[in-house]
Amino acid sequence: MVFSSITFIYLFLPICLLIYYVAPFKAKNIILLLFSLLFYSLGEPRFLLVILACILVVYIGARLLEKYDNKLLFGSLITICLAPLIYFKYTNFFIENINRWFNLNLNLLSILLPLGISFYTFQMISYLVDVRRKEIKPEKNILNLALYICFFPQLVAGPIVTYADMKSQIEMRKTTTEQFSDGILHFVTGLGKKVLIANQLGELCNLYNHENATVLFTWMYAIAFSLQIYFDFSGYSSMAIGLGKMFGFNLPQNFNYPFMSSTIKEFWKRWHITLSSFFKNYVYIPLGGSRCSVRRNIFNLFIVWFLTGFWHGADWQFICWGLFFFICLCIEKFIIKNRLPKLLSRVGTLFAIMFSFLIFSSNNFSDMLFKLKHLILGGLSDQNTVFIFNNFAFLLLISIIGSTKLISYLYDKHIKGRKMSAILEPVFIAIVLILSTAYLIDGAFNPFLYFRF
Amino acid sequence: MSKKINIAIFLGIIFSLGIIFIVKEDELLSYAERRYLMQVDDIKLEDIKEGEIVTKIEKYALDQFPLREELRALKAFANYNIFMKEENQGIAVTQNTMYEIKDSYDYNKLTNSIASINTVANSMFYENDCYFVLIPDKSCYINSNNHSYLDIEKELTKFLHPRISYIPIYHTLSLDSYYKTDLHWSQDKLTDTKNTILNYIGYNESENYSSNKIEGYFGSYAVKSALSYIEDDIIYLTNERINSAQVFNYETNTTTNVYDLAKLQDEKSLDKYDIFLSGANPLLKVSAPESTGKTLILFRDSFGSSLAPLLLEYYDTIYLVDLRYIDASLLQNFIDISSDYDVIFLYSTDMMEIPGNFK
Repeated sequence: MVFSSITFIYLFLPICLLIYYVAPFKAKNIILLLFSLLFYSLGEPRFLLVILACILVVYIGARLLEKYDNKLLFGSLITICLAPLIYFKYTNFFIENINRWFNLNLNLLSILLPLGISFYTFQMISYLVDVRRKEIKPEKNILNLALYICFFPQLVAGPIVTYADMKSQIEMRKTTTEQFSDGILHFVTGLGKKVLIANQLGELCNLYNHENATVLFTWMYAIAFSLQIYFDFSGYSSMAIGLGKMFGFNLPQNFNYPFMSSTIKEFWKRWHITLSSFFKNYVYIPLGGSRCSVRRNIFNLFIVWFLTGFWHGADWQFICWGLFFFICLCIEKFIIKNRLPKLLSRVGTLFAIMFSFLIFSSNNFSDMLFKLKHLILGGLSDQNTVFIFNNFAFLLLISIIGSTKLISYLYDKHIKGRKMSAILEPVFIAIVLILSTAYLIDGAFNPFLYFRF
Repeated sequence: MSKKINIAIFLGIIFSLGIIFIVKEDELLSYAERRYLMQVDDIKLEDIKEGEIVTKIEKYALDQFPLREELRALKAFANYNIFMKEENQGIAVTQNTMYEIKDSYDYNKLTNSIASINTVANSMFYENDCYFVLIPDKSCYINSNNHSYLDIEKELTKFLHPRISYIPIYHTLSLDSYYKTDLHWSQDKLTDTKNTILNYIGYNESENYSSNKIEGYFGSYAVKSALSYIEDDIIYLTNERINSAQVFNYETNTTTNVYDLAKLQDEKSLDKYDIFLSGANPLLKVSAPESTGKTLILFRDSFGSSLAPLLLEYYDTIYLVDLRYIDASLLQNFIDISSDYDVIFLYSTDMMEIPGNFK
């Protein structure tokens, strides 16, 4: 189940909210946990056991770590946490490559990826690491830990949160009218981003193929895909944050206008912020970070960006995508060193981001090369390109404006906290909710890009 | 206070629509979309085990959601007026007519269909006069799209077996020949097309017809795009010969008139275009009472239903074969095929691009 579905918005959410708010405080966590498990099991009931087993292992493991802190136990626990992710996500990738390199013909396995496994695996690892670092105490109440790992608003696609951030909220929280209303605004904004913008940009991207590619269409595709993945993922994160607020939780922001970045380093401080934080805190810094020799620093960066790419997908183009950022960051850090004029740096960053998403969107190497080649070579335009441009021009314009701070700036300056907001906010909520519902009802096209992670 | 209004609006919408969705009775049909809607009974207990339950519930919700048609119309409005798009669900509007966006023809699928036609003609009708008529899709009459159609027409005829004669009809039609809201052609605009086909075969006269109108027709494009501000009339042509002709349906073993006006009242009939020879059927025999000694086997898609009555000028018997629903090799079980029969393959490019449409 995804948040941007009729079933979730008009069945699951109202029932969950009703029962949650009718229930006494003591029962609220149990209710959230049960609804989270229901949310999970409705999609793939057979994987419920996987997540329950993971919770049990992490619960017992953390308590053992507190008593018997040793590397072997810690290493074993991390391996056990990673094992399901590696099995479900990467087995076929390894088999394919073994077949390719050793000219074998091993059969691929019929494996489905359990919902949200890439996200909850990282939360479990962060919990175990934090326990070992003695930054948090192991949770004694397994239900609290279970709620942390499978809290349905952030189970499927993050934000990735640490237990330190969640512990106090799980134990004691109070939902205020302000917070609930803020949650609604976040949820509806995210829904609009996903359904009204990202899905429509996806339609444009789906029209692009090797037969109708022209130079202009390839550029349009590259821009549209970058915007689609931003609105898709940031929209979903916004819905997650909004849902969290409705249940009294403050989840961290995951996006902060990444296309406004002046450097790639800044981009990754604004894009999928909680993933960047995870890699920084649990991989980069433990490896030595930047407080080491240049050679070691480059190695550390390589590891982080290799893993970032590989986490996004079990295929070589995702690894290339990660390593593309590794190269960009090395160039920025060791060659450019902030010496470029800001405008040039900003434009260069935007181009680099767009190229990176062109790599990300490719089905394979030849597809990637085809797209990169058609940014420069081939027919400039044709009748089909002109039609698609006319059809999607306004949507692209809205999307580009929406990816900047302009709307947020105008809202903060002229609407927020003023009398006007008392009219505009409910109107905005009603229009976006109804319009998104209309698009869901009529549109067969409702994929969620981050589901494959 | 304003925060409470936000909450009231949001909860009001999700709870009220959610409750209406749960308590309201299921709609059986979507007349606008011409299809049966999913029912709650279609969701089974075993769907939970198979992990299909959410998919099924979502599909059911999309079909049975309250105010569904109004929401579809709202989306169409937003697409054209808010997002300034030129199409909704792939349907664009120009010159007050709707058409399906088509960036190119699928050459491989079209040539595969031609190969199937060659096979049928050569295996079953090797002694008959065989003709092929390609019906241009409506979009080729819009802007400069016609170039690609004329190119593909030229290419396709190269694949046609030499003993099948090609009858070009592109110049007998125009954008005006098609319904404004549908992909089909309008029967009252087919006089030139019918004359071209019959002249090619060797009949040079032309009869007069009276026009009959059925008002308020929303074709498949209107339905798909959820736009209702453009409306068509169905005009069907009659004369004494057509009025007295009878249509025998081999599948249902029933006989009807050429124009099945009962379809207008039939709740199961989802498309008014079905008045032409009762819509899609595997095998029909149309018989005119006055003999001309001429018989036609017409392999056709839905376009053929509205053209066939006009061909009764020349033929006293027309067999209509729809290869989507019957295997060509089974025809001998129903028709005593003579070498005198003319054979026409009449297909639209749209239909020929759908794989598996030739059994």
